Amino acid sequence: MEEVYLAVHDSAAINARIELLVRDYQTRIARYLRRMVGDSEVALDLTQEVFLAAFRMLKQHPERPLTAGWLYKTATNSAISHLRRKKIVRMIPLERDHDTRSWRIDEQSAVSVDLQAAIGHLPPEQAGAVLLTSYAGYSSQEAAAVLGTSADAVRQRVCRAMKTLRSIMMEQ
Amino acid sequence: MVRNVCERAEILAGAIALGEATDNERAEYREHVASCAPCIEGLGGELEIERVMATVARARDTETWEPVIAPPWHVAARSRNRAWRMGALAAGIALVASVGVHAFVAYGLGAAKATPVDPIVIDYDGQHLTLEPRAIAKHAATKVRSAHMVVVHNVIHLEAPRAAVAGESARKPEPPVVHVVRTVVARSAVAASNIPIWRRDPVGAAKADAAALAQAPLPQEHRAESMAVAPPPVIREVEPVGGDAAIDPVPPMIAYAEGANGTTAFELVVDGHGIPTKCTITKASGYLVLDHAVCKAAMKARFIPREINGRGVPSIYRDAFTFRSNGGS
Repeated sequence: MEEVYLAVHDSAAINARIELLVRDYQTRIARYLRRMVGDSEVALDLTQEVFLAAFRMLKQHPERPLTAGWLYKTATNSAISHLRRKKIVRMIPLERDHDTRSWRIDEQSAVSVDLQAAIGHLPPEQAGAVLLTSYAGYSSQEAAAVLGTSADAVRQRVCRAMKTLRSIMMEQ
Repeated sequence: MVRNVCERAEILAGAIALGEATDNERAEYREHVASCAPCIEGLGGELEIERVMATVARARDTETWEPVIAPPWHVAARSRNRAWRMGALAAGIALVASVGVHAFVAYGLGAAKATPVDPIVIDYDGQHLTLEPRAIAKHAATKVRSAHMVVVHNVIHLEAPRAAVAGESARKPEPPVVHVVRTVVARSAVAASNIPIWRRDPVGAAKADAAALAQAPLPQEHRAESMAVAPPPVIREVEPVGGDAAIDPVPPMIAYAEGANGTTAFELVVDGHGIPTKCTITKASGYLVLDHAVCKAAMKARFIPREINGRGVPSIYRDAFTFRSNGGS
């Protein structure tokens, strides 16, 4: 995985590196989280939490290197925790006309909206596997390291997620 | 046994979806689904698998959402302050309040009052661009000594030339005058201590100036044409969704550190769906970072498309922002 941060001990240097980190990864992490949780505002909050966690980690352990995988791992755990805590995975159906209205504002593609509605039906682990590989561009090995599982498990999750996506998107 | 074989097929299908399957794995998958009806129905063939992944990739490529989040140390500072306030004694709270009031009076009000904004008149290429900002709105003062940047949103209106009087039609028409009829003032501040030292680089500033000057040429679209009957005033062809506040350029920290000042005028090409497709700096501020901030903010805005016969048509949107910095303190 790409290493985005090297250990530094100076406080100003940490701020500068974090600023670069935020600038380079805020869009990717926020989009990833928005797909995971299906809500822009929640995604922004969780994105802020991810970078805040990175900032605090570097303050406490400046010798630890920070990788993009660490950011995605933290983001995935935050999203899964949020979904489990709020129990919104199944309770709030992602109807196209209702929940995707806000997506229409900044998304040009109906495919994007349909995909989001379908992702809402996936278990968080499967959604994480699909998004880490297709959105973040990780291989199954790298995604497995982020999710704390094996590469075969990631491939299986991707396959099962695709089965669900295909059936839902064919209905729409 | 059958179940294990089908699970293996799922793993192979996942590998095909991710583009990681070898030829042998693809052959193994084909061989399995040829003899397993549940798998071919549930998973589909190789082409179907790749088609679903292509849909996901297309959705990813069409995403336009680009949020901007605050630097983490701001949030961390807020959290620390909140935790500290919750545990402080009454005397401590009173002391903080007192310091806050003093800081407000010393820096906040003083800084707000000490920034008179004079009208800016720009004369280039035969045009008069007048940017007349209103009085600066008073915003909440920061409790710490800070560098601040005043961002003046200048809304440019083009006034069409006066109708030609009989007998004077052969004369050269008067140049159009650009008026500012409305201004919105925003003010943002950043603590000077938060500006990274490595970004206070005068060499970088000189490069930014040179790059900004290089793209200074001005277009001719502001020049109204001479005609016998004056058309109605050319206002904006489109308006942003959310009003003027929809375009909110955020000066980067380096602009604070360098004390950047200048006016950036820009022109957007908006398509028939109200989405900007191109941003052109028609007058550079002299600081590339400011020009980029303006264009970046403008491209994020969405517009109410101009319609002709019920169909959205491309249009032009012109606007300008003036940045005034106290140069860091």
